[in-house]
Amino acid sequence: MSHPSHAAAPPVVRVRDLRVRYEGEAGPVDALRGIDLDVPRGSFTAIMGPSGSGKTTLLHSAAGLQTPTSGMVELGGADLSTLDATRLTKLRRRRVGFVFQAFHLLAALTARQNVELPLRLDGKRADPRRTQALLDRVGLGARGEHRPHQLSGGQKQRVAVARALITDPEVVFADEPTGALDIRSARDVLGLLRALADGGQTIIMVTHDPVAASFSDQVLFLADGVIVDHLRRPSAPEVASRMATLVESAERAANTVEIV
Amino acid sequence: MLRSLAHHRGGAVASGLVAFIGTVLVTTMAGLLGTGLADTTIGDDKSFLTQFPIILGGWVVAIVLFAMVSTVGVALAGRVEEIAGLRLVGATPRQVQARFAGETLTVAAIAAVPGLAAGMLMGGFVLDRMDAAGLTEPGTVYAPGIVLPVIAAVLVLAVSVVAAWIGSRTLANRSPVADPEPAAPTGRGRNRPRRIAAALLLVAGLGSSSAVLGMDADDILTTAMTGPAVVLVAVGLCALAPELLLLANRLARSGSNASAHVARINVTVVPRRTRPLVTFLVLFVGVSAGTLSMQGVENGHAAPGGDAQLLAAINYLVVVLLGAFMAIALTNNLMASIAQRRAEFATMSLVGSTHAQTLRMLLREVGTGIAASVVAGTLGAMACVVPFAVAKTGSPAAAFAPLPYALAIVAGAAIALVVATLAGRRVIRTA
Ligand SMILES: Nc1ncnc2c1ncn2[C@@H]1O[C@H](COP(=O)(O)OP(=O)(O)OP(=O)(O)O)[C@@H](O)[C@H]1O
Ligand SMILES: [Mg+2]
Repeated sequence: MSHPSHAAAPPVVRVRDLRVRYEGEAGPVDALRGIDLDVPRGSFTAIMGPSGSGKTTLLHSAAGLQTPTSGMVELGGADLSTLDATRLTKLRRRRVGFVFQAFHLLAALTARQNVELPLRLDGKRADPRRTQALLDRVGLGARGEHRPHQLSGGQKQRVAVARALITDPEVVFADEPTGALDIRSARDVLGLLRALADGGQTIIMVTHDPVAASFSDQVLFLADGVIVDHLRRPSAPEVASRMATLVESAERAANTVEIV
Repeated sequence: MLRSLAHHRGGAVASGLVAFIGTVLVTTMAGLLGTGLADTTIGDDKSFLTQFPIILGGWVVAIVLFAMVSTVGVALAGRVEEIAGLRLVGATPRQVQARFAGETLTVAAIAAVPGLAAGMLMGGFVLDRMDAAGLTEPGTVYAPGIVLPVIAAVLVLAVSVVAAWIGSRTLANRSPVADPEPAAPTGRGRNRPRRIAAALLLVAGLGSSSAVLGMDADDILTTAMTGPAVVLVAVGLCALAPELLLLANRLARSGSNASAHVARINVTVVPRRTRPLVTFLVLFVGVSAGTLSMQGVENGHAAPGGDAQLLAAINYLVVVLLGAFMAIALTNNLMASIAQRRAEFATMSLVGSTHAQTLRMLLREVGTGIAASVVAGTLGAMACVVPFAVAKTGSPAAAFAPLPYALAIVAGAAIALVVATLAGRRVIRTA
C-alpha cells in the first residue's frame, strides 16, 4: 500500500459503529447506539452530554477498558478486538493514559509511587526527576510522599492526572478530570492539558463544565448513546447554550416516555 | 439480623465453621470428662479421664477464643463501610459492638447444634480408640451424660460473643469518616499492650519448658509442662505477627519488578492484610512441629509401656485436632482477606497490571508471610523442645530431628500457597 505524503496523518483513535448494550435485570440498556469517531493526533476533544448519555461508556470502550457489544475501536492503528486481555493491558499501559472519574489510586502507595506505577508495571525504571517535574506541573511538588488518604479530593485527582502522563501516552483519556477541583486548580489542570495538546499530545476529555470544554479544539455532544452535535473552537457561552438545548430535549423525551 | 447475615455470607461461613469445629473439640473433651466422672468408670480411668480432658479442653477453649477473635476481625474488615454508615447515623460504638456480638451469637448458635452432636460422637470414637490401644480398662464405657456436653457448647457460644466484642472493638471505635483502609500504622501507643502480652506469653512458655531441665527423664511432668509451653510460645509469637512481617520484609531480596515492589510496600504499609495468615500459620507450624518433635524425642528414648503409649496417643490426637482446626481457620481467614482486596485488584488492573502481575504481587506478600511464620514457628518449637530433649536424653540433639518440622512446614506452606493461588486468581479475574 502506498502512503501519499499529502494525506492527513491517520487518526490516533478510530471508532466505527460502536454499540454497547448492558443487559440489566430491568431489561437491556443501550448505552451507545452506533458511534463513529476519528480523533486526529495532537487534538484536544471534549465530550459533553446529559448524565447517563453514555460518555463514560464511550471513554472506557475507546480506551480498551471494556469490550463493546459490537463495532470497532482502533488505537494507534491496533484493532482492540484482536487482542487478548494481557496484550490489551500491555497496550493500555504503554499507549493510553486514563484519568478516572473516581481517581483509583492505591491506598498503600505514596503519590510518587502511584504516579510511577504504570512505568514499573511495564518493566521500566522511573526517572525521579521526571516524576518530580510532573508532580510540580500538577502543583503537588511538595506532596510526593503523601498517601492518598492524606490528600484532598482535588489533590488526588491531580495525582491521577500525573499518573496518566508518566508513560508519555499517545492518547490521554480523562473522565471529568476537573469535577472535584476548585476553580483555580481546575484552571491549572485544564491549562496543563491545553499545553500538552499544543505540544502534540492527543487528549479526549469528558466534562459537564462549559468552561472546561472551551479549552478544547472541538466539543462532541452525546445524547442517548449517539453523537448529536459538534462544535469547533468552542467558547464557553456557545457550549452552555447548546448543552441547555440538549438537556431540555432530553427532558422532554423523558417526560414523553413517562406520559406514554 | 438474618437478612444482614445473608449479605455477608463469607464472613458468616468463616465464623460458623470456626464455631462448629470449636464446639466439636470442646464437646469431645466434655464427653470424655463426663465419662471420667461417671460411676460406671473403673478405678484408674477415673483420674485419667478427668485430668486429660480438663487440661486439653482448657487449651482448646483458649485457642478457639483466639481463632474467633481473628476470624471476626477479618470478617468485619470487609464491612468497614457498613460500620461507618451505622456510626454516621448515630450508633454508638457499643451499639455497633452489640450488633456484631448478636450476629456472631446467631451464627455460633446455628453451628452449635451439629457441633454438639458431632462432638458427642467424636468423644465415643476417641474413647473407643483409647480402649483399643489398651489405654483404658475394657470395662469403661462411654458415658458422656448430657449436662457437660451442653455446658461445653454454651461455653463456645460465650467465647464467640466475647470474641466478637473484642474483635469489633477497634473498628467500632474509630471515627466514621476515617479512611476505610488506614494505610499508615496508626497510634503507635496501641502496640504496647500487645507487645507486653506477647512477652509475657513467651516468658511463661519458655519458663515452663526450661523448668523441665531439672526433672527426671521419666517424670510425667516433663511432657505435661512442655506441651503447654509449645502452645504458649506459639500464641506469643502470633501476637508479634506485625513485627515478624516487617522483619521478613526487610530481609527479603528487594525485587526490582513491579509486583515485588508493590508487594513490599503493601507488607510494610498495610501489614494488616497479611496478618491473619501469619497468625494461623505460626500457630499451625509452632504447635504441630513442637508436639510432633516432642513425641519423636519420647518415642526414641522412653521405654515402651502403658503411660508412654498413652501420652503418645494423646499428643498425636492433639496435633491432628488442633492442626485441622488451624488449617481451617487459616483457609477461612486467607480467603476472606483476599476477597476484601477486590477493589484494590481492580485498581491495579485499571492502572495496567496484568492478572499475572497482580497474582504475583499477592503471592509475594503471602510468601513473605509464610517465611516469617515458618521461621518463627520453627524456632519457637525448637526452643521449647530442647530442654525436653536434654531432660530425656541428656543432649539437645534429638530436638533438631528434621522430620517433624519438615512435615509441619510443608503442610502449612502448601495450604497457604494453594488457597492464596486459587482464591487470588478467582478474585483478580472477577475484580
Ligand atoms: N454496568 C452497567 N450496567 C447497566 N447499565 C449501565 C452500566 N453502566 C452504565 N449503565 C447505563 O448506561 C448508560 C450510560 O452510562 P454512562 O456511565 O456511560 O453515562 P455518563 O454519560 O458517563 O453519565 P454521567 O455523566 O452521570 O457520568 C446509563 O443509562 C447507565 O445507567
Ligand atoms: Mg460518567
